Amino acid sequence: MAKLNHIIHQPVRLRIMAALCALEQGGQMDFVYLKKMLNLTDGNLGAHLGRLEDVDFIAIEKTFVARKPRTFICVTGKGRDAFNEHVKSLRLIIEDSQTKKK
Amino acid sequence: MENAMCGNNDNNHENNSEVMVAENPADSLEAIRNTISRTRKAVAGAYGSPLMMLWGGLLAIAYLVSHFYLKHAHIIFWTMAIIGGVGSYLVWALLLRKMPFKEPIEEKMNLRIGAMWWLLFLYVSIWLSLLAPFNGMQMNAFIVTAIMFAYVIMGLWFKEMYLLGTGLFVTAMTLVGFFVLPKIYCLWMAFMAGGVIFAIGLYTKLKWN
Repeated sequence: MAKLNHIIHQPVRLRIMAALCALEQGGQMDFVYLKKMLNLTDGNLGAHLGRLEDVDFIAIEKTFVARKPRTFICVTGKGRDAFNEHVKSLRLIIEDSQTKKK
Repeated sequence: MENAMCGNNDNNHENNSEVMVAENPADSLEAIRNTISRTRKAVAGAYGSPLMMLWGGLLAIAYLVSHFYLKHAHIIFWTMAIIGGVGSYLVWALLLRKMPFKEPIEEKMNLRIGAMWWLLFLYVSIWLSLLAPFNGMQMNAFIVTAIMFAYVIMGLWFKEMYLLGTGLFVTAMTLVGFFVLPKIYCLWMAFMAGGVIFAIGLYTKLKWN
């Protein structure tokens, strides 16, 4: 039976991980941009990022660009592996259900 | 307190969503596909659209002016190339500050892309000087199709269909203008080359970002 990842499959975190995994390995995305793209509030996104950071699925870097503070987020190798596994599991579930129907 | 509440909500939500996702894996996969597609488009749009708008706009102006002052076309296009070169550098420098993405391979790729465009410039210049004399229209069509060839290569390289499509479309339009509409070639190219490149740049900026 396919095993879904409890942390990732929460709908908001699923989209956060999908957005970050769409970048090249080591690629980072701006916090404000991610917030706008997923239509979330600062607090909501912050809470979900905190949850993902706690399990080392993402890394958060606070930096200054042209003297302005900016926060960049990237997915870790562990996070990418977990996301890929999660996607595999989703596909397996679909395949299983299709096989059962036949 | 607030965080703790969020944590509690998360846990409840996780338990509920586990059932929800397990029942709707297709929906989850669809959400993943949409988010990945949107992110990739946003990255492509953020990097490509300002430069496409700059060069498309410059090309459209250069062709329009050349249509009315054909004798000065070579000066017009050299001016356009210089403004475009300096403008590209400035736009790129500005973009890197504001960019919402940081790619680890950015610097290497920037160098490779820059090198590719310089090599193309050299290639076109050498062929033009070796195969001269060309008339103005032949030279122009050759330069445009060579640049569009680079768009096609970049489209295949980065798997960006909009670059591939732009390259093929503008090449086709150049051939139509060259063989079918030679009398209004510059006017045709102002809209079908410069105008189209500008429009695609604008579209990707507005829709993909």
